[in-house]
Amino acid sequence: MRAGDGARRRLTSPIFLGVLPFAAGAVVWTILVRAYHISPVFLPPLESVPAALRSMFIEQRVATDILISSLRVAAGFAVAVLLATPLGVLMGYSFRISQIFEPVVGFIRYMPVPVFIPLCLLWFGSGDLEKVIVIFLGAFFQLTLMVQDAAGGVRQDFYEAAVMLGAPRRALIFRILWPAALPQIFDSYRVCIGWAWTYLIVAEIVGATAGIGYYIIKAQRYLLVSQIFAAMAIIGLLGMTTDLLFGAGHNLLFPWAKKKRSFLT
Amino acid sequence: MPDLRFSRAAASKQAIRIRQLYKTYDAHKEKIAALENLSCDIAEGEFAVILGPSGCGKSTLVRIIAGLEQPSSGTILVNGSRDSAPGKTCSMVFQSYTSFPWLSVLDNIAFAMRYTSTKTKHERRTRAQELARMVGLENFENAWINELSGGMKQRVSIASALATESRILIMDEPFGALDSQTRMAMQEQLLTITEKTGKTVVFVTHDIEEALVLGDRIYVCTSRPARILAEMDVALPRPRTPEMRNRKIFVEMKYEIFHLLRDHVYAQILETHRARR
Ligand SMILES: Nc1ncnc2c1ncn2[C@@H]1O[C@H](COP(=O)(O)OP(=O)(O)O)[C@@H](O)[C@H]1O
Ligand SMILES: [Mg+2]
Repeated sequence: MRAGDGARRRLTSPIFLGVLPFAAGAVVWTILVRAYHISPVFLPPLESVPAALRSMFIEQRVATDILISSLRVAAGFAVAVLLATPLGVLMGYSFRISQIFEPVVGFIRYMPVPVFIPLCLLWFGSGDLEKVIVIFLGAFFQLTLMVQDAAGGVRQDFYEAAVMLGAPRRALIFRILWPAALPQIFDSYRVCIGWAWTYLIVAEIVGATAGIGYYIIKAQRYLLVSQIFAAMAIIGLLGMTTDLLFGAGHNLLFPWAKKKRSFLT
Repeated sequence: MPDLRFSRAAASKQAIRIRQLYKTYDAHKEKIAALENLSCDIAEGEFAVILGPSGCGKSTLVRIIAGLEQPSSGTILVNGSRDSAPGKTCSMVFQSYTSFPWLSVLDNIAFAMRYTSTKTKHERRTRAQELARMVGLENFENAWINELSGGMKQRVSIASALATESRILIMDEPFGALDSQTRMAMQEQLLTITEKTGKTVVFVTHDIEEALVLGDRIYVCTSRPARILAEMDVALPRPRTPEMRNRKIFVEMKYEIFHLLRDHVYAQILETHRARR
C-alpha cells in the first residue's frame, strides 16, 4: 500500500465524480455574477437559491405543488404504461398487428406534445385531467414503439428452444417473450418517464392553477428569478430520484441482466 | 474382432426414416437447394452422426426432423409417425446457447417438465436436480446462465433436453463454439450420458474425429445440396474411451472419411473457388 492510494480512491469515488460538474457549474455561476456584475433579475447570486427554496417550502407550501405535479406525472405515465405495454408486446409478437398499428402510431408520435395542449385545454379544461391526458398522449405513442422494439427483438432461437422443450405456442408470449423483453421494456419506461416530466411542465406553464410548472410561471411574473432556479432544481432532483429508483429497480427485478461495465472503462 | 456388446447399432427398429427429401429455400430472388433427394434410416437407440462441411444443409436436415422446418417434398417418419409438430418426439440442443437467461440453471432444466410430464412441482424439482448432477452442474443450480462458460451453458441445454424424456435427442453442432479441451471433456460426458440413457441421438458435426469418437454410425453428406454420400458403422466398442483415438480402426476410418470428403466435397469447394476467380 502506497501513500496516496487512499486519496486516489477518494478522487475516483462515484460521489466525488458525480458532484464535480455541479461544483464546476457553481464556480462558473459565481464568477459570472461577481466578475460581470450581472443584475440579479437575470442571474441572482447562487446563495439566493437555497434561501428561495426555504421560503418556498415554509411560506409558500411548494410541497403541495410538488405532490400535485408528481401525481399528475404518475397518473399519465401509469395509464400510458398500462396501455402501451400490451399493445407494444402484441405489435412485437405479431407482424399483422404491427401492420395495423405502426402507421397510426408513427403518425401521431411525431406530433410535438405542445400541439396537443390547445385542444386538451379546450376539451378538458385546465385541471388535473387535462395534464394527465397531455402526459398520456406524449408518452403513449413513443412508449408503444419502444415496447414493440423490445418485444420484437427477442432472440428467435429462444422460441424454437422453448417449442422443442414442449411449450405450446400460446405459452410463448408469457414464458419467453415477456421475461426476455422485460429488462428492455423497463428501460423504455425509465426513458419515457423523463419525457413525461417535460410534458407536464410544458402543460403547467401553458395553463394551470397549481404544480411546479405553474410555480415557475408565477415566479417569472413577479421577477422572482431565484425561485425559478429553485423550482428548476426541484424538478432536476425529482427526475434524478426517479431515475435512481428505476436503476435500482432494474438491478432488483432483473439480477440476471446486470449491466456489465464497458471494456473501455 | 471389436467388442460389440454395447453397440446399439445392432438395434434394428427405425427411429427415423427419410425418403427422397428435398428442401429449397426462397431467398430474395434466388432459390437455394439445401437438400436434394436425401434418404436415410436411423435406427432406434443409435448414435447417428451427420457429418458434412459447413453450409451443406445439416442444420436444415435436423430442423426438418425436429419439425421446425417443413420439407419441400419427400417423406419423413419419426417413430413411425408423420406428425411433425415440434417438441412432440424430439428434443434438441442448438449450437447457439439457447438456455433462458432469466431462469436459473435449475429452472432451465425443469422448464420442459411443466409441459411434458405429470409430475408434481416437488418431483419436477427433484428430477431437475438429478439431471443437474448428471451433467455435473450440481453446484451451479442457482446460477444465472450468463454467469456460465460456454461448456456449462451447453450442459444446461443437454440437461434441459433430457428432461423432456423424448426418445430422440437432436444435437446441432453443440460443441462447435467450444475450445478443443472443453470440447473433448464434453464429448466424454455426452458418451457417459447417452450410453446410460439409451436415447437415439442425431448429432451434427463437421469434425471427423468427433464423429468417430461419438457415433455408432456416420452419415457423410455431400456439399450443398446435401445428399448422403456414405454411411459407415463405427466398429468401436462401448463404452468409448478417449484412448480409442489410437486404435487402428479409428485411424483408418478417419483417413477413409478424409479421402471421401476430399474427393467429393473439397474438390467441389476448390472448383467453386476456381470458378469465382
Ligand atoms: N431460412 C433460410 N433461408 C434461406 N436460406 C437458408 C435458410 N436456412 C439455411 N439456408 C441456406 O441453406 C444452406 C444450408 O444451410 P444449413 O442447413 O444451415 O447448413 P449447415 O448446417 O450444414 O451449415 C446454406 O447455404 C444456407 O445459407
Ligand atoms: Mg448448421
